[in-house]
Amino acid sequence: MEQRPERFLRIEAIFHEALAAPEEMRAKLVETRCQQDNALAAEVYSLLEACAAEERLTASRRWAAKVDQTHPPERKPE
Amino acid sequence: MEPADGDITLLLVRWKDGDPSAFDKLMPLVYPHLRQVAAAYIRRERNPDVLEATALVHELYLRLLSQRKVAWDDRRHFYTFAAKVMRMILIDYARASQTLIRGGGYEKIPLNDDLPWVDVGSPELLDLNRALDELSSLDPDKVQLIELRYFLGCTAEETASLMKVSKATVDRELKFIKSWLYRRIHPLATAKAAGE
Repeated sequence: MEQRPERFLRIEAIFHEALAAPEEMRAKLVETRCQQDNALAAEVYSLLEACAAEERLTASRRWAAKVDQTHPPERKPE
Repeated sequence: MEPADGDITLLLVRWKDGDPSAFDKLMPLVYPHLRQVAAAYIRRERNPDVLEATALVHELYLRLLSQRKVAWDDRRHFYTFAAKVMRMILIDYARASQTLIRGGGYEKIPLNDDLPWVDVGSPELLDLNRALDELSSLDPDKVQLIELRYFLGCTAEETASLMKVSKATVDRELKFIKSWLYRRIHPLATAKAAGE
């Protein structure tokens, strides 16, 4: 979907507001801020989901790197 | 004052003002130096004693400053330029790794500890590059932030100082950009999770 920069700024502003709000208040906040613009709300929800997924992946990669450091994988002989 | 021949200050100003030929003229001045930095980046696996890209760029900047080729207030332009060149070098390396891939592929070395799901030399780095090209039409400052923080390896504090914003702003912006980039690079994973 093509996004205009002004819309992009709006998405970012709502995204930050939603993240700062308690989880149970987020849906209400997004609905209010998006004023029945369903595409805008979907965009914000999708980015909030991506934020959570990115944090999960980051945590799992960091954990794996820590395990690798304490138990380095055996290298195959050349 | 009329700038002297080869005045990097003048070229940095022209580049900042959108003259693409200035980038090409600046390139030879930093490329050999930054190639060494990138090579150290790529070799750093299991070597905690690595060369810090930002430290080497600072050294280069001070050298140019002592030769009066740059001015003090060029610091931001110089670092953002160096970060862009680092991105180009690391993307070239990733392309070469993907073309010349042999057996096991690339080593798992994260581009940055704050972005551990993108490895140097990986296909994800090429995806990240494409996503950043797309992001530049929406918000070029965000691309600059990513280049400084992840390609040049500046800390959040250094990035904040160069971008003349607070560290809290950098952290906040990074959270949003990482989410946007993650969704761009892993669209299926995000769509699947959203549908759960």
